[in-house]
Amino acid sequence: MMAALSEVIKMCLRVMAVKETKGKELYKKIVWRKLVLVISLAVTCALTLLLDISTGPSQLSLFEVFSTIISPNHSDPVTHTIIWTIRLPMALMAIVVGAALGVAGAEMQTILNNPLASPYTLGVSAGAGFGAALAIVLGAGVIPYIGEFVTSINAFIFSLLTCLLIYLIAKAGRMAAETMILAGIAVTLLFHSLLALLEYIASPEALQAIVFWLFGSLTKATLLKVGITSVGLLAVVAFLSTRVWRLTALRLGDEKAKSLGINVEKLRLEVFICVSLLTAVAVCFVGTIGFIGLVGPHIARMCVGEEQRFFLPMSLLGGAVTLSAASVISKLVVPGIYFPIGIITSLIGLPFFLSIILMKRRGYW
Amino acid sequence: MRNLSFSYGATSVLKNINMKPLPGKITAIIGPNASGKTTLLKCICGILKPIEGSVLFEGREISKIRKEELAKHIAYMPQENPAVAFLTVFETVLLGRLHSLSWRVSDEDLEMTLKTLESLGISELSSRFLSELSAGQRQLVYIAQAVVHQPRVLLLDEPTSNLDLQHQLEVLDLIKELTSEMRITTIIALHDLNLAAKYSDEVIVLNFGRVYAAGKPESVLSEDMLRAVYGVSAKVNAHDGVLQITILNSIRKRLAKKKCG
Ligand SMILES: Nc1ncnc2c1ncn2[C@@H]1O[C@H](COP(=O)(O)OP(=O)(O)OP(=O)(O)O)[C@@H](O)[C@H]1O
Ligand SMILES: [Mg+2]
Repeated sequence: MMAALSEVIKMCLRVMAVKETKGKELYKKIVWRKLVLVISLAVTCALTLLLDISTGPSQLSLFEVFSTIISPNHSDPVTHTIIWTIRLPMALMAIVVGAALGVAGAEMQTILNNPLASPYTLGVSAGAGFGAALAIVLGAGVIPYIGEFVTSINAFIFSLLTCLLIYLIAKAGRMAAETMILAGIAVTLLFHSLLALLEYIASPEALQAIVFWLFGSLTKATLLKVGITSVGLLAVVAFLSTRVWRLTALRLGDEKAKSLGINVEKLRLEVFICVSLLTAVAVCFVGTIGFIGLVGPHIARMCVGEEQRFFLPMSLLGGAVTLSAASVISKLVVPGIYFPIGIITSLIGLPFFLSIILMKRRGYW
Repeated sequence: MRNLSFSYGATSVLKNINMKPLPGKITAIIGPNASGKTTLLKCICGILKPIEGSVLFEGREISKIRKEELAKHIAYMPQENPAVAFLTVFETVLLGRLHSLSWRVSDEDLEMTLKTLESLGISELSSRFLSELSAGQRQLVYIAQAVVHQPRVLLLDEPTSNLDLQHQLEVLDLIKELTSEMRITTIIALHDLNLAAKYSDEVIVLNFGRVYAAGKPESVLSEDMLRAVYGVSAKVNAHDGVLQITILNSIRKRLAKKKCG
């Protein structure tokens, strides 16, 4: 995220520094509007992060919160623990996972040429859920520490497998928009029925662990997990940012893109692998958190369009803000309790999903 | 280009095409629907690989040239272009210069883009989204995208199909001017024979994937050709050195006429 931000700031400076000519003026007008939008969303993101850190079951004043963050050594040990092992990891996890899902959704939509594609709608989350449940039922869930890790790894593996499955279906179906969505439904149903089977044979304790995992939750966030996810996110964003124009050109149709010298198949495959890894990392730690990968890019498209130099950071920020805001809401719904965040995002995301479907008629896709 | 043949799977579409388009000249490809015009253009720009024969660019076979390298010199405007994309007109045209774009867009790219938009009279549309344009406006945008590229070879697939009379003439005037000024090898697939007669230096008639005739418009566009290839009877007159084709009526039935009750 920092990389994207610094890139945006640099562009901002460059745009201000250049002298005027007519072509540039026109370009500046287009770029400025988008820059302002990206920056405002970045500011919003910072604000929701702060809000997220300062809300929670234990009533801490804003001052206490910030002094603990700024000077950890001089603070009350209880407050210190609350902030550093619970609130901060959770709040940062919301930002990072939201950003990762936003980016993953945006690029899935780009390469599949379909605004309804996202890790959740294509069934990747369902695959991860099945993987996690399998690990839990096979007994991994009961081993402390390692058990949790094994569950995450299994979820990771199953999300990758699901991505592979989707890619194969997409290739066979020639990437047609409708085929992809139907394939997503099929994959989701497949994993749901396998999951139901697992739940049927699971012990009551395992069942409870599965259900909890499936709700999607940030409560198990640690700074280590935040770190792993951020590294994945940064690597993928760095990779994608070297391909912004080629990804934008994909919107012109495969033939035009090919005539511009783009190896379309290779580009799709590279990006798909990146995005699959990113999705897998994001969902394996937090469980099923739906619709973020749909809402983030949708906001971005409405605000800045599909030129990837703006679409990419805007989707990232859109995802981050949405999940961060959902995290705040999840603490406010029932005071004193962390309401499962996956339920909140689904409730927020569904109207978006429906509106995108309805926009087909207005030439949106 | 020599001995070019192409097939989609088992159905062969192009058979033994030979042509040698010249720099600074406009070559028009004409022919009925499904005669293989689009396929031929795709073979020329390297999107489709011929099963036999080869396409030469400056003496080198295009399949041996790196794709990025080739794309610097050849611009192709497909027959059908996307209508829905959340891109502004300016960005869409800018993408035509993909080979020189990076995070920072150079002044040269911006100036070229603006100049091209102005020459096609669509600079006021710059910040509009593609989906907010009429089909004709959109076609002008995609023509601009091909032209802004400053190619050595310019391939246009029915660039005037959505344009009004005046725009058709203006666009082709512009292309003719660019072609001779920049010594571009321009190949245009056209349906309008009068436009082909007026603007092209050479005409190639495709029929069922074969070259039926090729040469100067005056020698190719004849009443006999129209009868044989298109199945229409027509009158061809020369007016101040420009051919004028008046179509009279269809002489063979292609579509089953519906019985009116
Ligand atoms: N992707 C494809 N797969 C299989 N056959 C194809 C494909 N594209 C075109 N064809 C066939 O190849 C033949 C030539 O098509 P082409 O598009 O080159 O015609 P055209 O001369 O451009 O026609 P039009 O005037 O309608 O644009 C047609 O018979 C068509 O059905
Ligand atoms: Mg055609």
